[in-house]
Amino acid sequence: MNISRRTFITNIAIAGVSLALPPIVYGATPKPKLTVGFLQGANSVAITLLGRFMPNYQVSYRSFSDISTITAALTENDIQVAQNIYTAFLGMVSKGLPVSAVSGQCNGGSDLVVRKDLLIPPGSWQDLKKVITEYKAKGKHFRIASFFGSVQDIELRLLLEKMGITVNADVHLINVPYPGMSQAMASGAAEAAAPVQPFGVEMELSGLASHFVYPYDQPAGDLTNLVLMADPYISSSPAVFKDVGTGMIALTEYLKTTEGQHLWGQVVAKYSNVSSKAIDLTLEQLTPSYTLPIQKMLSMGDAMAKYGFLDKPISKEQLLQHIHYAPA
Amino acid sequence: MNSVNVQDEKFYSGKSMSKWWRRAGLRAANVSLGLIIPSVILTVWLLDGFFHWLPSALIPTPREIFIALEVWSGHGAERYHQLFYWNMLASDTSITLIRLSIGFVLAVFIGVGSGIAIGMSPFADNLLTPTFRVLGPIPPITIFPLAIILLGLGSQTNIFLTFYGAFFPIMAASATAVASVPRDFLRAGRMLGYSGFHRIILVVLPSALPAIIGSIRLGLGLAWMMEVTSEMMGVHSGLGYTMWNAYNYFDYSEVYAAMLVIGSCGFASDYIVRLITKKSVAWHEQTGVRGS
Repeated sequence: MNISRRTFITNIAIAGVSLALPPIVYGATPKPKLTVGFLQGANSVAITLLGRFMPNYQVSYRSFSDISTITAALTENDIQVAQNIYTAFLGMVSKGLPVSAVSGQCNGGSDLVVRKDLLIPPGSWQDLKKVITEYKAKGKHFRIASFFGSVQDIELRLLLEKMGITVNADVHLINVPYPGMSQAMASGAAEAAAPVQPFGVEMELSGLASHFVYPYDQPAGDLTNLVLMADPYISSSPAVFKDVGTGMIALTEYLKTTEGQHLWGQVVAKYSNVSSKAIDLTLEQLTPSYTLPIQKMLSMGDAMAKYGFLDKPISKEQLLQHIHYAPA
Repeated sequence: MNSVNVQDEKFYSGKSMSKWWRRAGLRAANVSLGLIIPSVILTVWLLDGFFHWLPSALIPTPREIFIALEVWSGHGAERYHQLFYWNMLASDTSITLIRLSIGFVLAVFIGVGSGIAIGMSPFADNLLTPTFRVLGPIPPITIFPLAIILLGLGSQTNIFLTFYGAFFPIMAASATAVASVPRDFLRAGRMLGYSGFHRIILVVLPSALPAIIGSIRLGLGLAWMMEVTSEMMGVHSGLGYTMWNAYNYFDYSEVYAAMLVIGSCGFASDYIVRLITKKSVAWHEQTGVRGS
């Protein structure tokens, strides 16, 4: 086909202009933009699939490395939806920050692992206590690496208390971020660790540690992640708030399906450099959930106050002021 | 500058008195000059507490920070007594200062020592510089996992990271300062009969000292940053430990209180370094740009 140079240039110009025009000029309604912030971790990255369940929005994602920065971005409206952890949310409630929980997201993923050479069988509190007593008799501390400020840290404290082990008297908790826990165990600087997955699974697969117990047998249960929005944004955009709630229900249900699990695994692999075996073992331990269990949250708040992280326990009324949960 | 001897009879004479007043006035003017920027910041901050230009949930007012400081120092209302940092200010500050002092002093001695060696000897330069050039740009916090393996968890790791943070700028600036000592000075030293060691102590070091002291002050700032950052992991105490915990639980008043304490300690430690080193570089102040 022969096309003159002039026709060719004209066609290119028309195509370029058409692409450059905003959709509204040729009749289509532009999708409202929504930015979702999320923390790093296998539990957290599942939220990057939310866009599939909010087809009427142009959803983009931003990753954050700590709970405080993501909260600042939320209150400043840099992001409209933030995935966060329950301990952080309770900290915000106690300080009266203008944010509210709009949905649960994903629970579980905590682990308590012990150094392999200690030969403590999984779940045997009697053996663990025996080792702790031996350490005490030798004038040494039994040290547990725990990331202060995390859900796992509070779960661990609650569980130890329930099992009659006193923090600071019987065991010492050392503040170690998850990625440093392997080194702490390898160097003998800690006898046990309370990681989030996939760090716990990786420690077990590498032979550094063995699984002892999942720390959910305590009043706060397995609460881990939830979804937050800023109060002023909820007031100004009630429809978006409702759609996020609906989208979260659809997402958490989808994540329970085989297809959802597969896709979730792909997302974890995209955001972290862990083996497929570690991803499979991690996903087995995670429970997607959109619910917001009030009583467990209050128990977690009580523990945080008891250990001096909050100036007083959070009341039910106070908590309910920060929960907006009304999906269609 | 000569100090004023108050026992001296002349001091009470009109001339000395007016000199004293002039000097006091000058000092007051200098202090006032240094207070201008903090005063502006404080005023804007107080106004913000009133007008809420910035998100009030994330920026505490000066009053809230004062309350946090009160709680941290063991005072304040009883409802705050259960907070993990209640009555911990003195112990947090002292433990941080101890760790910082050890790491920083080690960095000064080893950094200046290797700087002199690199600056004076091509052999030491060829031996050490490539390794230091590779290690220098690595952010100290990223070697935290390696430090745990080598040293375990605890104060020794904090001290090492503080040392690591301060060592490279001190070493690099000392090496440059020593290498820049004019050859004529060394020749003069040789003519005066100074041996190798005496030439270092009596010629090289005094000539390079102003730049070395500059690097020590720079290293001190980095040592503070590293000490506080490394205390966020692996220890139970210290200013960084308290600040990190408060940060994780959204206790921003305490975070800002910790920033204030760290800043004040940093200022005080820099002042002490200046006091200690002032006499040894007095000649430089008189011959330098400010002395003109």
